Amino acid sequence: MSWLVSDPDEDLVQRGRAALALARSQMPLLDGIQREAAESRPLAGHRLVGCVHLTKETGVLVQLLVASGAEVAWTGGDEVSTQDEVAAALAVEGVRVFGRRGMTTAEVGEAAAEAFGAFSDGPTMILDNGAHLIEMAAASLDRHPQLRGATEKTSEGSRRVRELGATIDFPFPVVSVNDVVTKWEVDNTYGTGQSTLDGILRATGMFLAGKRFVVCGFGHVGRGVALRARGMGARVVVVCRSAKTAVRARLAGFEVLPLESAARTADIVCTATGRPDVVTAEHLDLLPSGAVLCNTGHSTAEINLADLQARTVSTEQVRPHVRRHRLDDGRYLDLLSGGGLVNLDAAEGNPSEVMDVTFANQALVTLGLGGRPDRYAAGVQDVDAAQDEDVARRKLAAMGVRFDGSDQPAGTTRGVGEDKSA
Amino acid sequence: MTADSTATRLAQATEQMVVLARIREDYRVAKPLVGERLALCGHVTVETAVQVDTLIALGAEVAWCASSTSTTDEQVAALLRERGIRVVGSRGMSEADLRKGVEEVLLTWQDGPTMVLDEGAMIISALHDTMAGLPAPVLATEKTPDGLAELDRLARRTPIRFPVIKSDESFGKDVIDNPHGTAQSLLETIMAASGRMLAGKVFVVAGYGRVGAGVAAKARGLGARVVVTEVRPTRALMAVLDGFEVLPMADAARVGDLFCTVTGTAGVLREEHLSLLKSGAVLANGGHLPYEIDLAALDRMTRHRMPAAHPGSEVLTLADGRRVYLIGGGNIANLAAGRGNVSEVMDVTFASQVLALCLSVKEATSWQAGLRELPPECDEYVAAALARAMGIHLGAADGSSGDPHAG
Repeated sequence: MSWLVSDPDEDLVQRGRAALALARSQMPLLDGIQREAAESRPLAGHRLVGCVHLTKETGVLVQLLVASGAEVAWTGGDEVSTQDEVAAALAVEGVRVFGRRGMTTAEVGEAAAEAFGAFSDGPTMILDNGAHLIEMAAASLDRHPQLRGATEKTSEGSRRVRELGATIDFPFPVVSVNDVVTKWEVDNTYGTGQSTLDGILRATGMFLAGKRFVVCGFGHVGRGVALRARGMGARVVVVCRSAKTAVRARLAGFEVLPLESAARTADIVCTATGRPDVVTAEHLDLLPSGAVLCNTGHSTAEINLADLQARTVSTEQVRPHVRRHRLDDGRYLDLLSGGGLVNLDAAEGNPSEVMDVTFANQALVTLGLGGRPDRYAAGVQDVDAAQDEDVARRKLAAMGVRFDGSDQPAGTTRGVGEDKSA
Repeated sequence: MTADSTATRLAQATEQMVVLARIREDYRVAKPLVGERLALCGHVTVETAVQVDTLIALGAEVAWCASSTSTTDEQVAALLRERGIRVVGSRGMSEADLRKGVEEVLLTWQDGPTMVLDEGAMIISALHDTMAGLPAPVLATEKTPDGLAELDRLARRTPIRFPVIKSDESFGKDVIDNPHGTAQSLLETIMAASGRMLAGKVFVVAGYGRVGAGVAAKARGLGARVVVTEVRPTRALMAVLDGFEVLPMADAARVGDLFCTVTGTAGVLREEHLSLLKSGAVLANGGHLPYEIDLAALDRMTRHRMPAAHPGSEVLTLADGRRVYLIGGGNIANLAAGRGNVSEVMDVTFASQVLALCLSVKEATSWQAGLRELPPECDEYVAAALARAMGIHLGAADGSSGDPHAG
């Protein structure tokens, strides 16, 4: 069977349109870029395949790409995050959308493969989140000579892309849109930090003040979660494995413990590392009864679900996003969102205005690759610092913030590259 | 001050400088610097004395010249001389004597030093100028941004004769010294020299780099209403997202009670801003160089200046009758009017330098001349030593990421 969304229910389409309009009202950067790109149409003639969680915010990005002249195929690349109403609204606008909310991991892969093969002449451009499509392209470069560029926006995806780039000569630019301030701080630290707390609160309805809140990982996301949890009055413990990160967390005022110590008194454990098997059997055995387990890292493997299942005698869905695991020793643990991304499943992911900034980066690189293919050289590249400043400038303007650099036109920012001052 | 109390101060600094202590312990047997003739240029303080003690413990022969005319702690110099260590420098010496001190230290040995620990590139510059006749040392390190800028200028004139490690760009500087050490000592100095209560005051931080972000966070922690000024969009955005009010200086100047400039660039508080200040405003510069506040303009506007009630600050009565308090004469405030970084912060900076020598002493003979990065193992070592000293236990395999960019 095909995962192509076709002939969607009219009611679903209407709800999708309303959701897209709501998101757009909070995404002034994409709205502005779309107005510019609708004039110049830098993606005219391009066939673009995207794999990014299909939320209403992603929908606004897709509309921008269509307005820029591209033919677009899309898939969400995730089991639970696809908003079917958004998929429906985009499908009737001519976008080839693959997948739906509630797929198995295998089905996610099928939908992605279908999206990658949606155009008979193959895609010319890839817009990725987790390097799923870029991996497919890397495995079939000889069959896709028409590819002109790709972008990747996550930390893990960028790491994967660099691994691939070490052994494969990509004949087109593969731009990582992750290593810029406007992505890793705005999106990872502040956006995901807030939406993770939002997800946990919506899912559990718990009172956070005074609770032992264990954050595994103190990268940008982990730091954001730790800061927001502290702001809500939780007693935050950071778990990390490198001494550098540990010192950084400690100097930010957090308690730093190994998980085997922190687990004994944890009320909540939230994983944010981007790596598998952070919470495993030995930790599950130590958690107090009633502890909440959730994940906001990119992978669903941070909490070892097989280890949890092996101790489970029965499960009960006690709230929409809370599965209570009754264990063989009488304790119970509440798993949020099945160990998937709690901020996307139990809440709405990043707020629209955060995704606006993130997608502005990815959109500008994609439009740049379409309009000026020589802007980036072939192979794995980082987005340039000047674009980072441009996006920050657009965001400050949208927020109505005046600052000492606000009178200068884009591209003339003082101090760019002079990172040593102060 | 008696020799006893100097010894006590040295002992106290030694106790607080835990990373240097770990290095002495770890390299106690190996003594990697045996046979090395080491010329050191640095402020003559108890903290540098602990670094010198460490270098000697690792086997080096050390001669030390002051890096500044005004910072030498005479008691420390005397104590080290008593112990037979060559220390050249005195408080209030002239610039010419300072340069002569560098040459004197280099001539300690007939063939010059084999290693150089530099500050402000003073020794390295001499080895390319008046002392260019001496054989090139095997290895040098430079630990200040100003020194690195000087080396860039030097390299444009003449090829650098030997490898120089940039120990300024390190984990310790990024994560400890700038955001916590310097920021804390600036706040401490501003409070002591102004005698003001910070709670409820409008505290203007110019620049939101690593130091500025630290100053802003700590000022907020003390109850101030913090306003940030920035020229760079990404940094202005970070300040906004950290919950700070961001304003152009032309607006901030009208509302600020206290100002701290930490941009590293000139002309941040200019005449057009100074003319807007509220009477009673306090001005401090936290940047390396005394050009962030336009002191010439301030001087032109001033009718009368006298020491303020609190040491380290002056009160300037302007022609229009407003009074402005200037800390440390517009020089880097925490050094000019405060105690500078605390021992445990200097520990991290000095330890990176010492480690760079220990880890490179064998290979350095085969290195090309010129500037090079700090070996990454230095950062790992410093972080591990600190984590241990702080009593942080890291799990064997908790699987979380040490990559600050990892999601």
